[in-house]
Amino acid sequence: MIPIYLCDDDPAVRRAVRSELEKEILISGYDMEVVCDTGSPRKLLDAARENGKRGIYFLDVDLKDGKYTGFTLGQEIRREDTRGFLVYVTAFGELAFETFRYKLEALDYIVKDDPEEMFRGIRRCLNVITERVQNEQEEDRPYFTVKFMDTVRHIPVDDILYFETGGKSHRIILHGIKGNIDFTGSIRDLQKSLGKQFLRVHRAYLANVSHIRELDVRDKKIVFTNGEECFFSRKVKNELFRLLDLDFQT
Amino acid sequence: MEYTFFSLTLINIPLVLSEFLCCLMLISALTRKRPDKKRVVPAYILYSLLLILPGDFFYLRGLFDSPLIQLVNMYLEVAACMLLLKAAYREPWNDAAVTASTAVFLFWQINDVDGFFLADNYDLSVPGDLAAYMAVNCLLILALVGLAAWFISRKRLDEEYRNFLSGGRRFGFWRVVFFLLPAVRVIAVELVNERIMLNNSNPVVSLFLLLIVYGVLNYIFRCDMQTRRIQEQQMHLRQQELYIQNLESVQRDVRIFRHDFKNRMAGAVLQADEGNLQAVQEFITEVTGEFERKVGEKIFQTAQLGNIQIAELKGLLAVKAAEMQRREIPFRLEAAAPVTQTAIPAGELCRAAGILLDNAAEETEAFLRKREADGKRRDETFSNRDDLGKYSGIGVTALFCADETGVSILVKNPARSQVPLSRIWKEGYSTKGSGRGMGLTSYRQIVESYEHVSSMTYQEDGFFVQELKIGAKGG
Repeated sequence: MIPIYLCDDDPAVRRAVRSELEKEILISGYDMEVVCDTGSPRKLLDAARENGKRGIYFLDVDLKDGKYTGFTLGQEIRREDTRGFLVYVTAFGELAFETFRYKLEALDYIVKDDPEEMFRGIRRCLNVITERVQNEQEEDRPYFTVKFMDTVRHIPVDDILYFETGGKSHRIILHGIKGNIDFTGSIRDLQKSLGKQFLRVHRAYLANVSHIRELDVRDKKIVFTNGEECFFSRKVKNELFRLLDLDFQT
Repeated sequence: MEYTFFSLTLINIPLVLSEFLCCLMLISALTRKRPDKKRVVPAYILYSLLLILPGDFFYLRGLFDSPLIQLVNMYLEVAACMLLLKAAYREPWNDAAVTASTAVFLFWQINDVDGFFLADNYDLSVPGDLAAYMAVNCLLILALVGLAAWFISRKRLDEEYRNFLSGGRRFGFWRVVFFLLPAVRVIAVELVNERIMLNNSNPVVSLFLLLIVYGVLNYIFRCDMQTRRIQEQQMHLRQQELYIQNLESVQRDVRIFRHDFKNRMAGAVLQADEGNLQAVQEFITEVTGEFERKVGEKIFQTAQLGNIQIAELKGLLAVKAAEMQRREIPFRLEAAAPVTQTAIPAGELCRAAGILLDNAAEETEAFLRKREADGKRRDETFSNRDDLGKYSGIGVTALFCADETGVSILVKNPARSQVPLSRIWKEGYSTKGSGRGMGLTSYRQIVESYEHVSSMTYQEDGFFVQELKIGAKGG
């Protein structure tokens, strides 16, 4: 059961959101429950801490609280519940939502000035959350965690093609199927922590063996499944052949 | 005392080490860059080999009298310096050649100063003279060059020099002049040489040359800097104008809205009198919705731009926003917290942001054209929330997030197709045809040249996202 928390100064809005949520949970048979509806951010945080589960949070953007705004409350919640779903309720159509999404991984925002629109928004959110949770349950894959300056990103290990040492010292560039990312680290440590799936094919490269499509023996290049290339050194040629043969057999 | 190849090499090792350190100091002062420590030692070994072996040979054969050999030796030093610049400073060859020539020229000019205090050439076969020669050329020179490096940064000559290097073709002629400076030195000394003392140096000529070069170049660079400053000021003025125009248009819209609002309010009051609550509710929803559409968006954007408090960046964004408006590319800017400073120079920041925005704008324009061809309307953009997660709309989104850890910039645009990530960083690659696409390469160079800058590129739900993080200094 996923707990739902509400925080809004206006009791009327809370009432409206709560009744719509409860109605929708009942109609669609979602495994969710509204466990807290309050005007006080502190109470919400206490409730969330006590519960300790991944939750859904409907938060007012403009809280009339001395300590918290919608944004800082979101930050606080993220500290406790890193995978929870944050939905913002706002009076303005205009909100720097991209920033909320970027910084807090907020899921969506709904505008409260038109009740019909707001209810549609609530229904859409619950629907999306249910889908996401289901998808996550189906996929159980290892993730590689990387610190990108002050934020932490999780990248499925299977989506990584190779690591490359960057121009700056201790700088590593991760080449993935979906994108590239720079971070600070050492290729030797990566090699140790990632295990057999990754092979140090060159002084500057650590390659995911399962993504190698072909070897260009003449130019000493590895071609990955998406067409990207990196070099390999003579030393690992035999090892590569052996690993790839094994791979093809299995 | 007879010199052998071996003893000469032994003497040359400290001399070359001191020259190497001098060059490091001069290069670092001129380029304001620090060498990659790991690569300095291999560069030094290469440097010494290039200098010591031919030097020994020339000396033993008594060839240093010949100006031609001096010239050859001089350019061997330049070549060795170029290798150092390439390996430890990662300068492109072209810039490395210019900086190496300058450093070698400066080194020798400073080295010649000791000539003022000498009555005669050192006789290196006399141990006393040899000791004095070694002390002057190993230790004193380090102090003098250190002083020169301090002078360069004190007088902000490095700024001028870097402007000159980044000026590219504009300074083509002066680049050649810089490259020829070591040759000019050899020739000038040779022309006035009385062959009485110091047969391959002349302190007066050196000092004279140094002053001429300093004077002429200072004048030229300062003139150029001034022209550029004027251009920059004009650009700022234009940017301010755009900003004011934007504010004025908000004011105009508010006035129109107020007029309209008052009329309709009168109608609503009548309906309230009649007790028609539903009509009043509809009126409220309609009026707030209309306000958001007509004025809200503009006020929002102006407020966001107001949060960008780095003048150059604000100007750049105002110009880019106006340009995109002209090209009918929807643009959304978000800066929720004030962006007051970053740990990289404003110029570099603007270059990086400009490259990202230009690329995003071009890609979006192409995307919209394609969409139009497919029969969809252009105005179905930011207000259109078709599906959760995609309602950031079809346009360019730029995010500036500042907090205590630094500033993050995120630029996002819809992508027509999968952008081949492996290839976009290759020089000259562009989806826009050949001969373009240098933008992302220079962007990459900016990212690479700062320790606390990181970048990230990815594709997500049909969007191409570029993220740039600039950590706070020391963070």
